[in-house]
Amino acid sequence: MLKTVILLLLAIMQVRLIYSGDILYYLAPQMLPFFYFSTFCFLVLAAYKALPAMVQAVPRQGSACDCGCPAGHESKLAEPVMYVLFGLLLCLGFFMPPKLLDSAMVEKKGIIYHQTTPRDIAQGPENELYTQPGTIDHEWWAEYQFDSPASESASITGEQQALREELGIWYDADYYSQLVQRLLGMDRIVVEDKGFLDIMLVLAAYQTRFQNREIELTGFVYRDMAMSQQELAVTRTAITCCLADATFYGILVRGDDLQQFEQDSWIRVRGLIDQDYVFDQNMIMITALEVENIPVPESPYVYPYLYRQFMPLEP
Amino acid sequence: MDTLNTAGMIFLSIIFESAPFILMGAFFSSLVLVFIPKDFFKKPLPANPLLSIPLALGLSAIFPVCECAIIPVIRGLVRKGMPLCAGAVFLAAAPVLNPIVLASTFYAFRFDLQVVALRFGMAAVVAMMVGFAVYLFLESGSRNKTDRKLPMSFEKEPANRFLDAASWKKIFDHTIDEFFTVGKYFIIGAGIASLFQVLVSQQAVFNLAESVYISPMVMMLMAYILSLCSTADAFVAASFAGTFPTMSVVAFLVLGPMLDIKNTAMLLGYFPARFVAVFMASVILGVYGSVVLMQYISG
Repeated sequence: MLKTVILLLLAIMQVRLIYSGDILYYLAPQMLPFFYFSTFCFLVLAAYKALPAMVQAVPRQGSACDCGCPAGHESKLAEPVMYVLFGLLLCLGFFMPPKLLDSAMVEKKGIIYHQTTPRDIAQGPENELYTQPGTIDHEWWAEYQFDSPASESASITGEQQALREELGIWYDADYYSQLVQRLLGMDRIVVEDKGFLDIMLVLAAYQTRFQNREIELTGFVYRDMAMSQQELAVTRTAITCCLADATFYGILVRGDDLQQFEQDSWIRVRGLIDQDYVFDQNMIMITALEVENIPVPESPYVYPYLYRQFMPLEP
Repeated sequence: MDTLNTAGMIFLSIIFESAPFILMGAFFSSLVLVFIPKDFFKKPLPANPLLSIPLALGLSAIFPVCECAIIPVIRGLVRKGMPLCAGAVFLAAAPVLNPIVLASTFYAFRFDLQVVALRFGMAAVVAMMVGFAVYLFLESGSRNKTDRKLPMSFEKEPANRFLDAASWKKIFDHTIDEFFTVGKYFIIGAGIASLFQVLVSQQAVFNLAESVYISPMVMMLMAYILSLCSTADAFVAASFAGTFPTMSVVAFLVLGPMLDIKNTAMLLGYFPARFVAVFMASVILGVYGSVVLMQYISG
């Protein structure tokens, strides 16, 4: 009987998370089909256990399951422990307010800064520039296939080479050449939540080409001991499957009066792209023109575009 | 309080991510229990359990199961008479050697195919070593095979037919009970793993990794603590690739799916402590030994 109630409550908890959209505080979007599946299973199993009980109105007895194990699977003590544990799970699921991973976690896990390509490598042939100012609507170019000229894909530029070496694991020649062309064509780069990581990767690798170009992006404030009052890192959390695999990506911002922005508060930064040698690495940074506090965005976590091409599936 | 809240978030996140796979595992183990006849393993398998090890390795490469799903299935199979050493090979190999993990590793490391090859090669070698160790310490000679002598009421019954409603009732009942049993251990494991995530500074742990002999240990420890899903761990490992020697990253990738906090809790709930001890020791020594050996060979 208790098991039926727990299954039902698990299903209700999951439906509630789906309905409110809060599930995205816990899982990356590509895991959602599996979450729907487990919700469905809980409902079916709860119904399966509940219906005969209601019809017969007599609780079934005998060993815990009819599988032939002498006394169920459990010792006497194990049963209450099990209910306590599932009770704890349900309490957390129903009553704990969702909370974003914050600077305390960044301190534990470390932060990754986007490194720039050293200047001597970054001297590829000048590419033709598109002249399309405006913001990036990531959606459309994510779904749209470019016909890139053969000459472009044949010659890998210095930066593409560097991108490949520095960030080799993420590298995809066609995808990044197209993205670079898009970005080079913009006077002012507005980095949206979607495609955040890929755009920052490209900006860092091609930093010399984007030097002093205007950029606008959002993230939460992270400061560590080594930073001065005029510095902060605007940070995003990247999630592959679940929060356990979270990684933090930061971009150093310099400007006046930055100390007024509190740790973990969300900000929008408008500034100019620059680079500097800090923390023993050449990294992309932003000279702030304007920084403002904003509410927490719709999708606070970011998911690398490439992960979405590869849908992690388990059994 | 904030820390606990974060730990709670990670805890729920791990549970939500794994619940579908635990359900599938519970379901498949029920299928095994109901439909596989009791003498299934006695007929085709060679008399010497050792010979079943390569066979188990081959089979585990085909079935796409992860660590959360496989433990109840293996126990079901062992109770049906599968040799314990073959079960150990399955437990160690199946979460790594499967098409989906291959795809994600290939994807995360496609410019370092060495890592991909090493991950799968070493996982196979270590799994065989684990099987052999389990045979040596638990199955050879006249030692009792407690696990395989559990009484089964099914054995008195005629074989369950696939289309029989009664078979499916058993399957559903057993799936539910199995879910609660394995879920209990999983909740404990996920709880400890999430506390480690918020309390242990990975930065500090990484600073320990100075020598080539210690850094594989550090990475193995991280794999154990982080308790990542074997499809996601390649992406996390890729973010370590710059900081750590290749072989240490491989150690992370091989050990993580075989052994971590959450599956230790499940193993302890499902198998005798003696088996878990032999299994864990041989996995740890096997991974560390082969990593150091590979480092030595490659100079």
